[in-house]
Amino acid sequence: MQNRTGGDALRRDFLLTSASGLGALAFSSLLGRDGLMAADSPTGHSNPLAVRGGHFPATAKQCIFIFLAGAPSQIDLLDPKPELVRHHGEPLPRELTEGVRLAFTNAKTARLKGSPRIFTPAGDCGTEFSDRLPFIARNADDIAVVRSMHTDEFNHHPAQLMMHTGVGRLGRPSVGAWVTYGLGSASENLPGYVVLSAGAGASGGTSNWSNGFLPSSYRGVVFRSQGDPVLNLGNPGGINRSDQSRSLDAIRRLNQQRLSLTRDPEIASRISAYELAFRMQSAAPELMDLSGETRRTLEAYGVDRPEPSNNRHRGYTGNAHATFGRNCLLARRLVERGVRFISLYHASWDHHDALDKDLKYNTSVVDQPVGALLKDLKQRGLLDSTLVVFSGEFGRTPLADTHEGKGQQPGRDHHRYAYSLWMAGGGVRGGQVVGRTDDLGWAPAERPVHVNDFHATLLRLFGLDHLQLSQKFGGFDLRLTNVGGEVVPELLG
Amino acid sequence: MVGSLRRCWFRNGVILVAMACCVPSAELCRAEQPHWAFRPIAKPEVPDVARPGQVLNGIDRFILKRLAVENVRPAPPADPATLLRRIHLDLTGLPPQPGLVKSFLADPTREAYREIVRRLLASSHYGERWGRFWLDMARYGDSNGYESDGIRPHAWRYRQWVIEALNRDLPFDRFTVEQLAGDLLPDATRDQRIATGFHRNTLVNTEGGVDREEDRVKRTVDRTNTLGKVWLGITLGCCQCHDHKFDVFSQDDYFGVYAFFNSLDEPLITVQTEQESANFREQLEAYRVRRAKLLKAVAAFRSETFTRWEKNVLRPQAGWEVLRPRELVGSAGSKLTVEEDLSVLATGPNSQAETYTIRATAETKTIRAIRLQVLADERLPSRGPGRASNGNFVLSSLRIFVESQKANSVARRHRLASARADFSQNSRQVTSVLGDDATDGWAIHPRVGQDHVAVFSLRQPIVANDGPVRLRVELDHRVHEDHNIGRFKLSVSSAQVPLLQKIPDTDLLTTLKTPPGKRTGEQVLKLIRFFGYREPELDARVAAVDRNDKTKPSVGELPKARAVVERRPLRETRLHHRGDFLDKGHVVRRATPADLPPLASRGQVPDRLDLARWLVSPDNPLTARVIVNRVWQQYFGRGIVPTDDDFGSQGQRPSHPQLLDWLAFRFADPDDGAWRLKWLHELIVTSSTYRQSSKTRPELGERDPYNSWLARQNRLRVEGEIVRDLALSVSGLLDPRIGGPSVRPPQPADLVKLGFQNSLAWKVSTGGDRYRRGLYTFFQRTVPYPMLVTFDVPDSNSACTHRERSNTPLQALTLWNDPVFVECAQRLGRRLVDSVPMVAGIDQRTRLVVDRAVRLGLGREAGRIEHRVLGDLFRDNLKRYWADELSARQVAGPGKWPHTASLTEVAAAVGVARVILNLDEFITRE
Repeated sequence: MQNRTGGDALRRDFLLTSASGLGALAFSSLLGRDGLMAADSPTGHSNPLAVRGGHFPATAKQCIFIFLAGAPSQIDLLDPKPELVRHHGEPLPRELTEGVRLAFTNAKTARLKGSPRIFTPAGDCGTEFSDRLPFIARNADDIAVVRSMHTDEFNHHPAQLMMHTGVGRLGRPSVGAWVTYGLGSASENLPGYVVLSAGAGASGGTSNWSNGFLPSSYRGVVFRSQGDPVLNLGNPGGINRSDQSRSLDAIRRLNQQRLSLTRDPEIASRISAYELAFRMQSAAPELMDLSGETRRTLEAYGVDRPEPSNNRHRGYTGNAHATFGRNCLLARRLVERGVRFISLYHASWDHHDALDKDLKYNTSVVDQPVGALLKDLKQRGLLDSTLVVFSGEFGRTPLADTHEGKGQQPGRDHHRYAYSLWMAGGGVRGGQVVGRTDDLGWAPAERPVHVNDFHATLLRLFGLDHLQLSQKFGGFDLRLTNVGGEVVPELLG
Repeated sequence: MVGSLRRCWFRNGVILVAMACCVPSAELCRAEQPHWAFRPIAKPEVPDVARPGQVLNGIDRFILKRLAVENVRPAPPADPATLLRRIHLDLTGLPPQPGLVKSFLADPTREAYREIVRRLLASSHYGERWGRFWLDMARYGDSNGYESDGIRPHAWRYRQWVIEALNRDLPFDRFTVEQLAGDLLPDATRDQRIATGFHRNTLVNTEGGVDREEDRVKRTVDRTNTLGKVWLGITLGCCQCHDHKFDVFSQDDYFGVYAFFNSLDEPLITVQTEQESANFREQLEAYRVRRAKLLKAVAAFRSETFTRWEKNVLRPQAGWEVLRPRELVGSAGSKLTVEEDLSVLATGPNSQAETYTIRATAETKTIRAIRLQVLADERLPSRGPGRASNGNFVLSSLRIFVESQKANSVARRHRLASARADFSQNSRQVTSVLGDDATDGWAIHPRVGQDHVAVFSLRQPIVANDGPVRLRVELDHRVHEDHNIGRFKLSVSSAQVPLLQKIPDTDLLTTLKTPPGKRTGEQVLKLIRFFGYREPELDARVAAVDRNDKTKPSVGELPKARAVVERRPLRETRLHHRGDFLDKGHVVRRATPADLPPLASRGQVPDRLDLARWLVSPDNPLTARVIVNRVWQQYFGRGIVPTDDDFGSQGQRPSHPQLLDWLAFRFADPDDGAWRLKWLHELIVTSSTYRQSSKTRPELGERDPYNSWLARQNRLRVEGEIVRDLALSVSGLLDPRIGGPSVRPPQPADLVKLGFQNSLAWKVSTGGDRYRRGLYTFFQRTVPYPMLVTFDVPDSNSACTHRERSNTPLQALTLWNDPVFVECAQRLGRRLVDSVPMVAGIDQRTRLVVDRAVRLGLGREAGRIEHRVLGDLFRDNLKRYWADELSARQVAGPGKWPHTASLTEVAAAVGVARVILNLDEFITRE
């Protein structure tokens, strides 16, 4: 099963495990050929997460995708705009207002809003980071900031879908599903694609980690954000591991019989899920047990950080600091255990008002643990093969979004024309800034990078050709990069 | 005018200047003809087909016609056992009883099947299964959501209404009208008002600092979006902020619908039956009699020490003079009236920046302190004492002036020196009342619904020089809109009130004036509590009173339901620019979207009742199509229109448009389906299309990957609640009672831990309530029951019209190890051995166990493979547990086992049962 490359092998694997009857074509003949009709193969029949190679040599083997739902302000975090500060309070230059569509703000009457943040060059490379990201900035030499991102969508849910699935509509597989589908996962004992979230949920919800039309084995598995991340790991009293194994064997044989009778590929996914569940029973408690971590590590990630008592922040849930810190640490432990794709969510970055106050709160949730994560991965030699992405679904306007009446502080509106994200590790060339926006931060002035380009590059780091990683569906060859996508060579090491 | 101009733009293919929800697509703007879903529903001719033998009803003709075009034959009928389990799970969500399986397999005729369908549709479990289907759309939950997520003890009354309405087959048009506007029906019944609880299922944010108007707007938006999604199959939600990109709906259209919901008030209504009221009165009377008796014992208590204490310690203290208000003014329109006890009640408009001015004359010669009592009252929201809906208030300052009797002289202000209260809200201390700061004040949440008192001392005493003092007291409420005090009483005193001493109230002062022997039990109780007097014999008598007090039937326990009523006068609705409720645009009148048929209004201003009737009027092209499609989706896993909540131009087109219209037309036709859902169910499930085998047909995989031609049925994993119902049912644990309050079944041990940290009270239900159907599980929105979440039960934060069906290892762990499923396996294990004859040999016993396992668990006969796999497992288990009695006991679990089997056999059978509960087939409707 290993070492298969290219579309055909992927396709065949897909057929074996596909969901919803979609890849059921010629299913029985494949079953026959692979000997799957035989009821008792010792380790199950086709592990959908078996590791396979990509189209090229890969630099990235694993990914931690940190998603800041609601869209953080790049102008206050990653893209310093001194000209904008100078023109603070002025209207937008006329040439920019023509034909502009904004979500909420009237481009003709709104005023420019410079950032009150202080940007300082960091590391040897001198990339500038905002004073709200001091911990992340310490890793500047490993980070490639892309300041010229742009997307097609400027409402949250469609834009989140676009950032995850390449298309702003429901029904497509997310990037984590695609990568896991393409390459499997080295972790025998944990899901290939794990989702952890802290704070309020993202508006995209479960569609952000959907398997779309891929088999359900590639869907993100959500670990709980409160209490133990995975429940029901222990066997009931009197059932030991070998009893459980005999039980698993009986379940598999009977499920397999049903599979050969009904040919419903969903049963194949269920068989794999049981195999994995059995292995998770021993692997997950060990994963979640943080007692082996040093006090220094726990403090660095901030897993015990108390929540500020003022609860008037957007999206406040009462435990985001501690949960997000723990999730970052769990992400490193998941990487160590071979999990292919880990998504970390933190929501409520939609700062239409009270930007300064709420941005301070949100960055205090994420900056320290993310900084610690990068440093920790590097110290352990994991950063070279682990891609870390830090992004929202779009950017925010250089214009102020003001709310009359209630004395609210201004914020910024949705902005699809330009935003920033950063990538580190996994073969990304760190210590650089890719792309540039114009002086007001309105649109890319150099090297624009579309979401599809970003995905093409991400897949390329994993050794996957975005044009070849496709799935025939409803008469089309569908891929993560939809009908576009070009690899950004500057980002490759 | 704006509307028609906008539609013009569309027809010319011009994209609007506004924000986009989706990717623009030029073809959408070309259509000259109205979009298919907006055209009137006509009744299509039923097509002729080549193979009439396969036709059981009209549905099949439409399906077969399409299959003939594709040159595909339909699948053969499902085998009788599969069909029987399918129809049971689809109509009631519970598996067939083994006896029925046996008789149906012996006589699997069409007539026998129809009889079973009729019986299932008449079963009360039908209302549970399809009620849950509706509750997804009604976004039903048992708590408020958001951070504080307070519980809603009365929410279930609405669920009960849904179940009962479906069971009596309340036609869908009336089902619609009663939920959307039951309160506006002439002579609305109790049930019709409970039905409006539909609107009360929205999230509610009760946290401090929440802008209440903003939260009300959010609820109104949710109601508007829900109407669009559930009845019209239209994503109106986009138009909240901008004109709809691809459909003909404008922001004006949106706020036209919004306006119908913009004047809702949200009361709790009392809904007890006559019997329930009588029971309550009886219980209350019994409690009072007991209490009087116990208090007598307290009053009768005598002892030497107590008598001495009573005599010596208690000397009358400085009293308070309650001020009799002479003149009352509410600056922002509150109406202030004096009650019999000299307290003041505020009614009428409840606005922002309200100042109460009270003028009174005091007899006290030297005033050193002023006291403000705020009083709970049934007439206030949440019993007050404030007028905010949660009973709170925020008093920002209290000012006291002495007015001279002479004309034209200026009143003199007396500053306050100190303040203290029996209770202050965390961030709203009573001391903030001392100054004139309008941004902070005294509040008492969460201790609402009870009296509170604050005492203020004056910097300089007010001394009466010539006759009574004319006082003016001003109470400012400047912090929160509508957080005004509801009922209060003012008193003054000449006493220096030491800061740490407790404040005796009027009652206590009266008591102190009463000679010891004449005090009532109530007075004695209050006295010893206030001064902390203890003596064992007296303590025992007091404890008896306390114990009895806990049995007091509370008015809060009287049946209540969450309903809505129309507010008068109506709120004005203005368009919100960009969806921002603070950024108001022009006034919008109540109206239905301009491109849909006109609304017939009973009065000058249309109301919700008109809106609801419009939805189900014969002209409405959407409602019948949408609901028929959604029911279809439940049976086949996919709608005729796959995007069941988007019948707009961005949605997918119907796979069988003629069939959809034929079903929708007949469903709504008063002489045919007459909106009866049971009629629709019967029509669908008796078609040969429905009865087909669900086996995958590999040869069609490429041509029809979604099976949209329906050349077979689909295998569908059952919903989360039904996963639970199945396990409880086959193990014999299910408590099949219909309806009632929500229950709390056991959760995994890890969560109990969590419960302590977050003080979430998950007290596991006892008795039968531990084993109720999944739909009765208490739904705490922020921490929903994990088993349900794992099996894709929606979060209930907004209307959900179709559930996902995921397939994860977490589901495997749940079925294997969740305490509920472990208990089910233990019970099912017992059932497997309870009828095995004692004389049987081991091989025969094994065969019988496996036969019974497959029959009970899967509703069919065991085959060769099951006998081999489960038989081996049973025999291996016997060996294993014969040698290890301790494990056998643990596996078998608590409780007795049948006399026909040994402990070892029970443990071995539990292992078999556990496998059955974990099979894909077990949780799948095939």
